[in-house]
Amino acid sequence: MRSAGNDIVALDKIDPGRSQHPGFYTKILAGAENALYQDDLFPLLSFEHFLWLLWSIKESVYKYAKRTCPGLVFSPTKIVVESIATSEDETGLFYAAQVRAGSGVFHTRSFITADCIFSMANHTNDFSEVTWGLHPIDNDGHEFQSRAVRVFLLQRLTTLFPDVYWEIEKSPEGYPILLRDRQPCHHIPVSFAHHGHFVGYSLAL
Amino acid sequence: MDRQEILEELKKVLAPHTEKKELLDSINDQTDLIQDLKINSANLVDIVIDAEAKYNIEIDVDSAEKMVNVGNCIDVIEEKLKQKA
Repeated sequence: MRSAGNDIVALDKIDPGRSQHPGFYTKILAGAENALYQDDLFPLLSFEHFLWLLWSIKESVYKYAKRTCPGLVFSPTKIVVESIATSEDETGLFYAAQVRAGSGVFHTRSFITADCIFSMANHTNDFSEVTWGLHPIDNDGHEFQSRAVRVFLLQRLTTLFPDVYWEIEKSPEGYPILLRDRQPCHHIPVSFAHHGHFVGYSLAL
Repeated sequence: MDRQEILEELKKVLAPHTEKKELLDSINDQTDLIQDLKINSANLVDIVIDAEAKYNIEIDVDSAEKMVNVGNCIDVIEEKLKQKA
């Protein structure tokens, strides 16, 4: 089943001191993941940014997997990043990871700006069918974030499909569902994320 | 410490991480941390760490993953306090 999962970490919302405390990061990183942090692989990445990069990877995979497994519980140390490397495409530098969650293997792409980390998950490392968007907002209140990410996605969909009337509903499990001309559009799964002054989405077209 | 006392202290742990502070006076066992209190998932580890400090307990990974609503949080804290006693 196709799915979608994404996550945002606003860097002004993290506590660098707390992030470097073993009592904190051991609740996020699985034991083997500590070894992934190597200066030669991430020369410009601080440990706290590495930590929150892995958090956003895990959160995006959780959202992706939860759609097909509604009872799934988010437990960061049980969603394990097996490998991560830098890569580059026309949008710039990104981090590509392979992630294991239960019996499933997932792939993610993430990038880090000066202000936030954005991750998206997929069942394959081919992301050609995954469309995403990241947008800064003025107000970091929850209601505003929630409205802003919906408006942002609807604008994109209207650009892609100008003759279609799009709406967004929430499933009983809590993930967004697109309505295409008032009918559920399950073949285009979509995921929302917001944190601080950023909202974003990913969807599989 | 009974469940009501744990709840009162838990409100202090949750307060810095929710913008819905007015809801804290009426939370109950079913109140979901993310859906109802609009706590960002990125703050869930902060809540576990703050609860450990508040109650002087250690919360393992298996217990932390159960802390999705207020009732679950109180269950975990109550269990850890009993283990410590």
